[in-house]
Amino acid sequence: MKLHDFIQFETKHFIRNRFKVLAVIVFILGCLYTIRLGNQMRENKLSQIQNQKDKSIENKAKVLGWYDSGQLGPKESPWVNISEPFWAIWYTPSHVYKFPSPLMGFSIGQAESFAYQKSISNWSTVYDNDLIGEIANPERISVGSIDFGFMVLYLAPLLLIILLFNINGLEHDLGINTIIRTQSTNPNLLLLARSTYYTCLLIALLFLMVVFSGLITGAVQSHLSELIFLFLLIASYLLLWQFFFFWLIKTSIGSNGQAIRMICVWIVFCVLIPGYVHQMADTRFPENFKTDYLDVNRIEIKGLFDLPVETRANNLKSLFPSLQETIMGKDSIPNVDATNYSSSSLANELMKKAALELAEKNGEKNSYIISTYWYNPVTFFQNKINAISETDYHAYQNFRDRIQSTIDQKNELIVLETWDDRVVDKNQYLTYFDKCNASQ
Amino acid sequence: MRQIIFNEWKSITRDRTIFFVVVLFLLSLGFVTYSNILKNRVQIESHHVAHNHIRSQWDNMEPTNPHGAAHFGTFAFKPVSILSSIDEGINSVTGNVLQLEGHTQNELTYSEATQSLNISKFGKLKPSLLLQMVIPLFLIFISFNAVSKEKENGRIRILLQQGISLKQLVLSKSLAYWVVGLLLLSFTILVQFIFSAQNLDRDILLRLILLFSAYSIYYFIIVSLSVYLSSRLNNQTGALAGMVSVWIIWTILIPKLTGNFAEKVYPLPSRIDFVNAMREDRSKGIDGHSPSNEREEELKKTILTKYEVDSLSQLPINFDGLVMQADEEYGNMVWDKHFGNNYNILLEQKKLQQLSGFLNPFSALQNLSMGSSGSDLYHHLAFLEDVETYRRGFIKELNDKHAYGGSKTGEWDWKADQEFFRSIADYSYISPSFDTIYQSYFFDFLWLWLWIGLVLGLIFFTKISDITI
Repeated sequence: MKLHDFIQFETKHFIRNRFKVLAVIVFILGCLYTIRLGNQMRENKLSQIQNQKDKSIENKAKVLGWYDSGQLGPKESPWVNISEPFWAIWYTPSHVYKFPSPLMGFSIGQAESFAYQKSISNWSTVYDNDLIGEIANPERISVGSIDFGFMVLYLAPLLLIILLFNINGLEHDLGINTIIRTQSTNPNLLLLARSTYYTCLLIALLFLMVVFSGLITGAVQSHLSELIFLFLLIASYLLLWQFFFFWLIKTSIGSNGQAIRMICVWIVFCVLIPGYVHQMADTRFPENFKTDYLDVNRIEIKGLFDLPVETRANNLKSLFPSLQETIMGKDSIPNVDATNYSSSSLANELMKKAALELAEKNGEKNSYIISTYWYNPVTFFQNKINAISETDYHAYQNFRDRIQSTIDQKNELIVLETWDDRVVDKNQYLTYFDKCNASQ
Repeated sequence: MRQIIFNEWKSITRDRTIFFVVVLFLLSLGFVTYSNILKNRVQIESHHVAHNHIRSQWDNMEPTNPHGAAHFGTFAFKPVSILSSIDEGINSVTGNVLQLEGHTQNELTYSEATQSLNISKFGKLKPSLLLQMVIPLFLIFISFNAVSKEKENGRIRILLQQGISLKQLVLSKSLAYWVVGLLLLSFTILVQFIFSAQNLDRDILLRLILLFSAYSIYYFIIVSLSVYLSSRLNNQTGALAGMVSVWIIWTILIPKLTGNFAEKVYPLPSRIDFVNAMREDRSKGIDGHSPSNEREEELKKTILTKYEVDSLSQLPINFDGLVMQADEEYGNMVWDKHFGNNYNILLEQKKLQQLSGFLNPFSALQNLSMGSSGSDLYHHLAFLEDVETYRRGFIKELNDKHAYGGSKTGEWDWKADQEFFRSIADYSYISPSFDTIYQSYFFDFLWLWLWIGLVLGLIFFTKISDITI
């Protein structure tokens, strides 16, 4: 049979089966709906970020107004003096944003568990309360959001089952499989071609949807290589399923038996193996209550303030060797106010160490998850799609790293400028603003 | 009918594949239930350790200023219930550490979902995963051809001629397959019962009964619907495709869609709006009037009049403590307004989601499963409210000590002794008892019973003339 004839034959076969056509239409509508949901979420995040940016500009203008009018700070806080570096930096609005990728429409991933912006002070940490993610219904999150990634990873294989379950199965049911085997020169090739037809049909539909969404969000222009990679991932994933299903089709025992075996394979790969890995990860790395981190947060930082000024000043000099060259650093008697203002840097070092330990523990858990990919392909593809859409753990860890570097920057600025006894004017304030928002 | 049920059981036990799968399920359920009980014990133990660790820090605090102590604060850890080994519900996404301190009502942090890459979209390998997703599918697989195979081999004519009615046939076959589901379910509950024996009390027993009833009813719905379709449809393929489609729609699609729909109908504020609105109310006053400095002035006048003195320095008490407590109480109104609003929205969403049980008995089952395991939204909110009540009392004790403990206004260096801090009651949480919460699940149960009624109605009103023999 020529390729053209074969496609015509299989297309007729497909179109005549209303149940299959309906399933494909429902799937397409579902995909379009989930892409829209993901894009809506992205737009919401972008608009919230824009609101925060506007507020930040307002706050900056307010402080600039104080400089213009010679006011030293808010009227209700007479102790504030914005000509001192500490207070000038304290009143420098500083934010780190995680801009959602234009590919977010394809996978919401872990987006709902994390925040997309963080207001930074010198006392901020990467585990602050304002980083716990959007306010959402925990029952909905535990059931899981429906997104394009879910449609592709979990429902596309089910659609494939609907499309493929009676290939060779129907022939068995009708008892004509022997005739077909006799008439065909290569019956396995025919089965492979027939199953490939449906897989290619699905891949082509998904390709169109990826391109369509990419055009709407502008990802085709800005993230073309990621978009191509995403498509290749989707295609490989569906071909992998086709590979499994082809073996079941080849050894068919009838439509019913074939459908049952295909669904069992789906259950094993989509539900049981990921569930098992999840359970094992939880057993190997049990959820703890972060008491080590809390101890640093409360006990060790509180202890910092019980230290004599001399000790804290020396610790600061070890942390920032260039302090020795500053005006106050050259003085043998430490300046109490400057040391107090700078103490957040010492606290930041302690918190950084504790946060790093947490990140290392998370890293170990992630390594374990990655080590299971060879028998847990669904999770592999899921995390790859999340990574492309920048909604996976690593995307948020990068966000945390950027937050940490801004906290470091703000603290360093406070310490060096305070110890240099600098008098801050409007221009200097603007320099601080730029430095404290460099991570955007 | 009894004979048909026995015959059906015989054919099940004679079918090596089904027999093997049932044994496999029994072993899996036993293993999964037992391993989760062990894991739960570890979790409960580490909860105690963390709790005692934090409390000992509080008890061993050196004499300090009460307001400093309010900033030092304490932590509440969300406990896990005994039955969360069966159904973890929302525990892995809510976080488990709550900081209790002055000036602010915090939220739970450190959710498990944020600590690693994504793993499973359907949760961990808990008994609930097997009982909710896999076993119903298995029941469909063994029952989808219950009547159609009789039609295809012509045995149905003989059975009908022997005097059995179609509804008796469908019902007895449904009961026969339902018992298989019950066997698997009972085994799970039995394992839970045996290995949690030391923790069993009336409350847990009632919850186990609720859990057992909910799953039993759901299994009956699935099995009888499957057998009914098998009697109505002309071929086995149609019956199988129909029931698998029902399973996909009920188990995978509708729960996710209803969650999204509920959030569209009752939208929650974005975090940034939530935080900004609270900040605004805190500084400008809930109604946009009486900012904090005005409120402080008013309080000052009242206290000076009450103690008949002209200045704060003449007061026999520490005015700062009173200001902080007044500010705290004002803050509590703000938290009640905004957190209360969020909680109300969450409850509305939950109710809407519970209503979806009318369309989808699986949603009702999920709600009852999480509810009876103490791991659903109702239990979660009960914990948050309880912790917040404790926080308010805790901070009030500290502020009162600051005000009336012996210091004068402005004496921020004044310290309360260790004895005082130790005298403040420790936080302990008792989860809502089943008696106080069962009415929340009224609709879930109602829907399951309605579904039973619907399926039985279909079976009872089917005539032989409706089917092709």
